[in-house]
Amino acid sequence: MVLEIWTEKYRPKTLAQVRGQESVVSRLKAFVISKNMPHLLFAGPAGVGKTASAIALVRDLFGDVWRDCVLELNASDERGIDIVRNKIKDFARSRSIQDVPFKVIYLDEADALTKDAQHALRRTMEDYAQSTRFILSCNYSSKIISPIQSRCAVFRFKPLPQEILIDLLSKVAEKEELQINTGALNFIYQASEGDARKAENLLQACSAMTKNITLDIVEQVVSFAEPQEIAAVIDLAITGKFLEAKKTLFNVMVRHGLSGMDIISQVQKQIWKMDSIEEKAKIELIKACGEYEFRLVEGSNEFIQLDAMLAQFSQIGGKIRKLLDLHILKKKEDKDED
Amino acid sequence: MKPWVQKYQPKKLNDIIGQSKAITEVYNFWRGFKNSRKKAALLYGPPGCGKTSLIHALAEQEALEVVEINASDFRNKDQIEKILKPATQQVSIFGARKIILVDEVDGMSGQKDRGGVKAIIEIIKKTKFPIIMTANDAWSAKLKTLRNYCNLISLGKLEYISITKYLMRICEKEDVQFEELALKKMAMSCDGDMRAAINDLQVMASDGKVTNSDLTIWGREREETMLNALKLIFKSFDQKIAIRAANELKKSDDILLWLEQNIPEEYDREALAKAFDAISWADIFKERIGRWQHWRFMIYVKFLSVLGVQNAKKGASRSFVSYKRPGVILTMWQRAAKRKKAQGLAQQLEGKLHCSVKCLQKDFMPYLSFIEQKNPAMYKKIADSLGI
Repeated sequence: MVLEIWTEKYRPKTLAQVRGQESVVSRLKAFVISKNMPHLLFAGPAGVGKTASAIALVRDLFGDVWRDCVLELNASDERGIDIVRNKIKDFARSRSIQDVPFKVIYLDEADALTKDAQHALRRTMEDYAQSTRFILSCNYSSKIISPIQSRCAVFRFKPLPQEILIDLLSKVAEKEELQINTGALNFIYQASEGDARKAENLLQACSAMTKNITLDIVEQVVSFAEPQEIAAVIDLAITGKFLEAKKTLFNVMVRHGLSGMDIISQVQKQIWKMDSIEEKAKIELIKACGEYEFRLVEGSNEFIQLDAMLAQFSQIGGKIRKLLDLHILKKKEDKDED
Repeated sequence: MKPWVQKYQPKKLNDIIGQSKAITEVYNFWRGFKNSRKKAALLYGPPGCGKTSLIHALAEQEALEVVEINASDFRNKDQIEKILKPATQQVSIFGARKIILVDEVDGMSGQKDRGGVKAIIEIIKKTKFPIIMTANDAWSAKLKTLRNYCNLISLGKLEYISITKYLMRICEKEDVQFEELALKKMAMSCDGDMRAAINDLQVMASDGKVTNSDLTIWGREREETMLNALKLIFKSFDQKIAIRAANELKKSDDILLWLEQNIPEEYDREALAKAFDAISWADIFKERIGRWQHWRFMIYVKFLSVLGVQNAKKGASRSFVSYKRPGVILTMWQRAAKRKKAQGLAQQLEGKLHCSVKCLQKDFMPYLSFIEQKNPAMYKKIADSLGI
């Protein structure tokens, strides 16, 4: 078993244990009582309990034999039509040995399926509806084609409120005999952006250091696990310190083993988050980011493309500073005229 | 004396390294040829990964006669029919076993080899002997119809570790003393191309030893021409001279890396952005060469990189700059190896932890490696329970 990993160890075993999704859970419980359900579509951000609810639901429905009645698939790893035509159909087609009214196919990250695959899925869902129910999970329901949406009962999972995630973490800490203070808990919440899976992994990594977890420890883990330097790279680039930016970026890539694409997506997110950048500049920077994401796809050497992006950032930074200077100058002149 | 590339061509399938999957596929194709619906196989992969060697090794091991046509032959319809038709139809009186090798099939010229691919397809339909073809790119538009008649067998780029091993084997047989690190560096610099690596080795080992310091001297000779080219690109405005200097480079591919490393040493601000924009486009055209097998794009790579960078500046800086060697290659390997390891691990864990490889890589692996570093005992417990 994989109970050494806390996300598994503390995974809800019944629907009653699922936290923070009351409105969803109460309706799922009704399915357990009636022993029947339609196809379901779970939509919501990562780590708020979609997979947990699906597994808990299946356990409540089927009891001890649940493992034989469910096929868990991850669409993001196999996005093609083949997955639908082979694995899903095979499972849906075969009769269940257990004495249950239907089997369940849980398809995680269904929004990663290609359009073709989704269309193939739509037929499968109809043809095997007698024997099989689908639970699809996705981050954005808009990426699921509407014919599938219309065949599913859609459940929207909300981000976990801070107090619930913190309560969850405190309970884990208590069972693992850890001391953890409020500052550390709050920081874990922030760093994990409300993602319970990430939060629990983070807490477990902290516990590798000591039993007494403080803000300082959490910060250490976060800066190890996540490249914090991206913001610094952007900052260095737009202030014209190109060489330093290049060097920092290179080190981040090697240390964390990141691909060019990983970097670009983080740069884009980071620009959006940085308050130190003026709004007009943000648009320019994000445009450049998009351009170089495209070139990265088309080109052969990631480093050349990333460096070119940083050079572009430098230039944008320079332009903006010039504008700012002019602006200040003009203001001054206006004042003088007064 | 034979060049080592030929002397150490694998004689048996077992001698080939790093391509076990392809070997099995080719062997099975050959064994099952009689009952196979498709009468030809198309081996594809990057240069120097062992496509042609594999076929020759098969022939040698099983004592087969090889009828070969390659890019040096004219391969229009008439020629192909003249050479291949008899070979594929007649069973020799001694019952000799044959394979037909059409090397570099993607290199058939549209103009000069008109009708060649069509002729091959006609021959495949009627052949009595296995036809094996090789190509760098199986997906080029030229081969579109041909693909339907072939078993596609892919060969990957060789890992530098495999190449190093092979180089070591050669050194032992040739009584060449070597430092392992030197061979490793050599293997890395040739980007998965065994042929290039063996050629380099033969040049380097002419005095009976390969050491790390030899390698630097040898590299330096190559560097001289590169440094000269860089100087002309960065300091002058004369386009013809710069292009001429670039033409003298032995491996013109390297210039992009050298420029990438040294642009920031010479330029800043607008010139910097312009120069990087130019090599960014050059890099895109470089990729397109591979993707479309259209070698003419090379011209654009050259012009964009050399002239684009040269003209990015307003005035040349007078100050002396000592140009730096591109340091990317080695670290790129390290990074790739690291990523590969993490990905392999994530794939094993996927089913157990109810989330995707991508999600594991992002939200789980970094924490696991933190635990591995800080608390080995705890890591071991976790690793055992996960079966990794």
